[in-house]
Amino acid sequence: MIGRVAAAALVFAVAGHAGAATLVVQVDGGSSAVVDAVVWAVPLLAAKTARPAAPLEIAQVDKTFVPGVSVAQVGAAVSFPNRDPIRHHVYSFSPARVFDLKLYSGVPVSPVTFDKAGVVVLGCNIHDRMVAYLVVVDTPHFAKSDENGNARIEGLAPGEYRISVWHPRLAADAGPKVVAVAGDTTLRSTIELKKPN
Amino acid sequence: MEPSRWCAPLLLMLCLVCPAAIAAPAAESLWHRLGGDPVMTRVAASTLTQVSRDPALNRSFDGVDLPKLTAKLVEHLCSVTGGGCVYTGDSMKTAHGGLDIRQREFYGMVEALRVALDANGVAEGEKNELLRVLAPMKRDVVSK
Repeated sequence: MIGRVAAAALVFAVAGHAGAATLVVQVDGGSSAVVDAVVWAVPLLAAKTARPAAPLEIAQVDKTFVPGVSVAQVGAAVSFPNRDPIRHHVYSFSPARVFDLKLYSGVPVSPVTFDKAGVVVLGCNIHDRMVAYLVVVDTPHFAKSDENGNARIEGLAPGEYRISVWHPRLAADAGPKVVAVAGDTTLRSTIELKKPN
Repeated sequence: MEPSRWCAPLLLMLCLVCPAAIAAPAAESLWHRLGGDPVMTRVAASTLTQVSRDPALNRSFDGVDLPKLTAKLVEHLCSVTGGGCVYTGDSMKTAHGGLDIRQREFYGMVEALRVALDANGVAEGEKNELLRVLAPMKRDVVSK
């Protein structure tokens, strides 16, 4: 046991000198690339990298949440600026964070801190078409897939990671996949999506 | 005690009691005379359905959650007509802020309300009484 811990420590000590790797996860829905999939990597053995959660912003523009899908580390402070001339009333009933915020045009409101991992679904009490998703993850290693379906997670120390993929229309969660990252790595992830409403 | 000695306090007491006794029964409130919750929920829903479908009026209702707005409108109407509800929504000024409501849109909604009140059998007197209560809100709703 002591030997294993020592070995793991050694791997990460070496990694610290060797430089960090980039993991690219190519997300597709079988036939085409999937945009806005959230991908996160949790190191299997090492203690979680202590990196403070970066704040982020989910704005309201033309009665739409921008961005519609976000990912943040546990502890992140998220602000909800209202860039519309009209009011909004943002809420979440998700177990990871229940809250509601009345947002008036040009009136800043204190950010909301998300201290539990999970998917938070956001809505607006006034405009029922407005919806956004915030995935709160317990790791600083995360990314969102671009228009080509590529989610790039940079700065990974070599080692084994549990990789998870989520999308608002995910039909069935296959669960995380363990991947060994030695150097820059590309991984393909095929997910099944429900039809858009 | 001489009659004149206790007559004044008695009269005073009656005067204090009388207005309270008249105002007390909820049955006399405008809200009740309008038909209360069942009628006014139909009136509010029908008014909002009408304005949200009218191309000349629906601009400010685009994307709006109508069932939630209907519930708030009923609560508001009930609170301003003596129905005893506590209105939990924003002030008229705040609720309409940034929507840039024009006068013709305001009167368009008033007309839709009139039609809905008629369709739901609200009497002329009560209808006018309600419109008189609502009229001063125009200054908070319409953009100058």
